[in-house]
Amino acid sequence: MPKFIKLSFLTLFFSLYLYADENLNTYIKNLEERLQILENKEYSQGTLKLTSSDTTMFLGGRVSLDTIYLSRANGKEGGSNSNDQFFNANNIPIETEGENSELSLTARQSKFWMKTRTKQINERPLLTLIEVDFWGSNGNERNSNSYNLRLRHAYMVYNGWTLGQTNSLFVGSSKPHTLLSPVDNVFMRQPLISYKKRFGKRSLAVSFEEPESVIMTSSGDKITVNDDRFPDFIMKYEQHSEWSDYSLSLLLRELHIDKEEKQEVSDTLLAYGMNFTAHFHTSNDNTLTFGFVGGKGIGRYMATSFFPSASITKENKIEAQLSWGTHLAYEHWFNPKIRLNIATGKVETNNVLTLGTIDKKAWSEHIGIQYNPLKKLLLGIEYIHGERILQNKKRYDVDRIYLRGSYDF
Amino acid sequence: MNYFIPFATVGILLFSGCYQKLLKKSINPSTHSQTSTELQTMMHQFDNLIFQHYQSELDRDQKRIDYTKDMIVIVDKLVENSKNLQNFTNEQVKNINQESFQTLAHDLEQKSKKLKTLVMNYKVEEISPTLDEINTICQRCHAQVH
Repeated sequence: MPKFIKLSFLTLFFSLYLYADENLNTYIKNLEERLQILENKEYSQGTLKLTSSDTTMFLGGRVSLDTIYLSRANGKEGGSNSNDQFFNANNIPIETEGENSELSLTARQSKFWMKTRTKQINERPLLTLIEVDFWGSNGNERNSNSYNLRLRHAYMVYNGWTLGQTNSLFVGSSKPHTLLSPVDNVFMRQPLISYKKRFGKRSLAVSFEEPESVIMTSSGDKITVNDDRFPDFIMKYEQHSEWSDYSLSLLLRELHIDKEEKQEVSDTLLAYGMNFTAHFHTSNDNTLTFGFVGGKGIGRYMATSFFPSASITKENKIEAQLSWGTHLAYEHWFNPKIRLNIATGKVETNNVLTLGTIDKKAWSEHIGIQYNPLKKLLLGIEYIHGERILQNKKRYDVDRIYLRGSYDF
Repeated sequence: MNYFIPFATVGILLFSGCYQKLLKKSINPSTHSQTSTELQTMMHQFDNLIFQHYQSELDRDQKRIDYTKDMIVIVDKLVENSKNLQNFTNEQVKNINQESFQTLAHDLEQKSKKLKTLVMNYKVEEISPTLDEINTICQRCHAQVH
């Protein structure tokens, strides 16, 4: 009997021990999970991180409000007056009777992005990005200011390869840090396939990109022809160092028209161009940015298609047009939160046609102050003066003041 | 006017390039305070990448990685400097709590290793918090010295 009691006690004790041990393990496991959650929370930095198998997803974006005062507006109805909200050479108005002084507010600069990173066997991750903003369609300013989404980026990067829609390789590595870019802005977002090889702090990339041609008819209208046969070919060299960044892009493309838009013209020619940008840290955070872009038939790659790639001549042929642009910008930090930005830019072309009413050149000057009260919060004010000169030497100008408040999350 | 911008630009670029070279020559890279200032400047540039125009988030990530590689070199210099500082006989350095100083120097070295791992694994989202941690270490150390 005592032996049985002893045995019972031993069994009970052992089972309690096992139970306690199991509890301890569960407790430790719970603690570890909570620690992991806390660590993830610490590193989330404003992005929502979802983990599914080997893919990690990050979400982010920007909330932005632009308040713009214009000395002369383009005269379009509120809600479809994006010309008054974006600044570029095309948006310096020519006919402005009754359009003096206008105030415009927009939150359409706000955007949203989602990116993923997927681990691969060789440890090089596959990256994707989808980014949208609200410049999709015009709305009205009467009641709701409703605007649709617009695709900005949708692409993947793996092992040097890029597939999808993103910035063209022709776009320079550095831009002036003003709120709005000077008139020579090289901006192009389009579907492409590219490959980049890095050599330490240098890289060389090549890409095949979506072709599109803007051609001027003999009456001075710009038409976009859809007769392209080959992709635009671009090569880009980049160099980065502790105090400077350089990039040089070379463009080669075919311009082709085949009786498009009621034009009795079938012709083909080769176009080319280059874009050089440099960005220097002159002292501490202060930077100097320089850019030069030019070429024969460069057209839409510069100044948002301000000049055509080619023009139709009297002989019913197309002739590539030489255009160029440059900018110089300086950024001076007064303290870690406040900076002054100054920039100037110019574009010019050698017109093929002798019409007096077509654009010959344009320039802009920018001066502004930007303030970061918080790490990702930007408050900025910028004054812009832009001028547009036609071939008949008539000049048109605009003064704009931008106030911007934006927060990146 | 037509030629003013290109000429002025070339002039300023040349001046800017020469100025940087002069600046480089005058800097003694082993000086801790100067290296520290360089790091602060780079951290500031890193934070402001978010405001650069027309770049996608992945473009910015690549720039963040490039900047971090530069910063790792500077942090490694700081680690090396902190080892040298322990041998100084200067009064200011003498007053430092050696044990605490060594712990901070060790922490800094660990953070440098962590940055290298993050860059290698493309964990861009963890770089900024790690830089904040490095900043905290620097501030704690400077609070002891000054």
